[in-house]
Amino acid sequence: MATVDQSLPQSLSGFSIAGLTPNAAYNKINTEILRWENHVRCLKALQTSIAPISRLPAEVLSQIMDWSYRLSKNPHRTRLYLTWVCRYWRDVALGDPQLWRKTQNYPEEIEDPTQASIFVQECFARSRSLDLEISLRSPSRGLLELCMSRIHRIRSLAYIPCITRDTTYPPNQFWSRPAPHLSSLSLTKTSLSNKPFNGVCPKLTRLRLEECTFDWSFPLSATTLTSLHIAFPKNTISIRLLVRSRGLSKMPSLINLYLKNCLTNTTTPTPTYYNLPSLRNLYLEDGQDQVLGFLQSIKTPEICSLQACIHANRSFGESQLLTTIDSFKRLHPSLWLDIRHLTMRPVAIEVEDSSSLSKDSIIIPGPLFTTLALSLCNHLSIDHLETLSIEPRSREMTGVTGALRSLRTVQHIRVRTIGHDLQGLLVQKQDLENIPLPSLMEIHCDAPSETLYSILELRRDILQRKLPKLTFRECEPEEMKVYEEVAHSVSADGVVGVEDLREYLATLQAGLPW
Amino acid sequence: MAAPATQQIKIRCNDEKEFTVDRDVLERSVLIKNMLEDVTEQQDAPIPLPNVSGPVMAKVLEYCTHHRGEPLPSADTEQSQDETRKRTTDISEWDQKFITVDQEMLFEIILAANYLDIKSLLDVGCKTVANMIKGKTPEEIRKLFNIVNDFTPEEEAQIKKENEWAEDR
Repeated sequence: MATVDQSLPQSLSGFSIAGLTPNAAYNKINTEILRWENHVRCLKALQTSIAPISRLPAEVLSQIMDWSYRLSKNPHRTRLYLTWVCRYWRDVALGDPQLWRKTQNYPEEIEDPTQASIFVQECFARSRSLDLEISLRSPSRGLLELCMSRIHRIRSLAYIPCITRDTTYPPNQFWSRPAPHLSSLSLTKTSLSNKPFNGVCPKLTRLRLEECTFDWSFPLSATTLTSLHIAFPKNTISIRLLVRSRGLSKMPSLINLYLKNCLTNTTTPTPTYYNLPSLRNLYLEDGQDQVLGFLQSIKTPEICSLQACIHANRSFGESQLLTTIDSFKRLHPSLWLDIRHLTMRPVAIEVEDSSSLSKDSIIIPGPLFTTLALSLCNHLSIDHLETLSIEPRSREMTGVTGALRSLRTVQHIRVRTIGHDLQGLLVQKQDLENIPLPSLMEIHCDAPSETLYSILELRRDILQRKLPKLTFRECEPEEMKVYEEVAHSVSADGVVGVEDLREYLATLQAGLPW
Repeated sequence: MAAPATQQIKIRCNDEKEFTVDRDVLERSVLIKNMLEDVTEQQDAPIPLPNVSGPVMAKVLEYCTHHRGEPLPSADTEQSQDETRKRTTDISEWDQKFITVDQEMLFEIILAANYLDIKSLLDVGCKTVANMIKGKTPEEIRKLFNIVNDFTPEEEAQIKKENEWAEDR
């Protein structure tokens, strides 16, 4: 802590320059000014030291700075501002390399690419020798090259190129430097060399490639990968199932696998099985044949969550869905018994020319979700289902609620709707009323608020059981006002506590407001 | 068969204020948990806590009582727990109400959480202060916390020169 200079005079009354030459007088005054300035600085430091926040030790202040960075919308500016508050704060901030190793959307706040590079270089220096976590979104070439020059220090890298970029940049050789510390890599619309990182990325566990081109014959750090995510836009198949399967067979540690629109539609008569011994979570999004073909080619003894999102088209109806489900069951007879989380929904409605159809005329042929839901319960004998995610249209709600009656183990229901389609739910009050759901812990609903009231009015027993979570999101604009009123009354963050809701509903003595 | 009675532990703060608290509540504090594990025999003497005052301890105990039974980070997975803990930026509604206190008490709670090694409470305190800092300029931060700018004009000029890009926003 700073101490006050005791030798300083109480006032300037005793200070004299009498008899001194001008130069000597100037120097004496200057020395005195410096002493006083130092004195003032010490007094200011004393003043700071009695502020409550100054009692915090450096390691706690450092944590506060870390949170400030994380919570800020302008993290880089915040990080700088923290170094400008006072000497103590500056010492703490500059003395903590952790504060400078991380980046979030690095560094969008700095428009001038030269300034951005200078700042990034400064961050690298301040982070000393710690591994770096870098996220680059539409960076300049200079910035990208600067960051990649530190690839040997990078632990986590996410890169999204500029939309209007030169498609030939960066060349795939760009990704050929060794990355000995890289454990997480996320690339979008990037072309990789056939030997990324020169084959040196021994710690890579998480790989996410969105619309990237790469040679699957050299999978990145196959043996260490625990999470693999590959996605392409619809109808742009760029890599082949059999090649990929061979790649997957070299990934014994995979726990999470996400494949979107990159499966072929070949179902071989005598499939070759590839063992994925650690796989627990599998997400497949593709056409029916592609999904089935892939499921035919793998063995997954540990799987506990399967999400199969099948592209629906106008010819994809009830019979096709039943066929799909039956095929799943045939392929993985034991899997169904262990499934805890299952999501099935069509992700797109294929029409030749969507502009020629009005919203009302797009009708999914057949009671798709009714079939699905009923099939889940009656056809598959799922014994342990905990989470059911469905995306129904109003016509299917009868089947959904009917199906729920059988799902006594369900703890979480996630109902995703489009607009007011949950009106179907309202029509089927009777169904909802009779669902037993003894294990229900959570309802999540992207629904208008009136549905909330309806559910709560109907299901007093849910309230009485103190359902831990009831969440509603993404209301239609016209519903937002009412929703906000409800949310504001009971919760600040949109997560509605049932205890609060009960209290709130009790105030609605005149019944529902509509 | 009746459930076994919860062991009661006595603690003494630096202002001689004493509390008798259920052991599982007190064990939210890693410091006290380790102390209790080191003591093999039942002892009646209160555990001295020389760095915490009675009023602050009362607040800390309120927090610990509310969160009793929640899982504590285990030693072997501390690093991964820390990572998980750090990712959670939200403060629960109850915690927000709990930590709505004046600055003096807020920083006392943070100091106590740090001393008693109650990571979740320390996080709540740090996040609260971080939220107070959010969006503020250095001058606004100084004003908020009664901090005096003790940089010399030369130092200040140098600092601003370092990062001119951040100046004109």
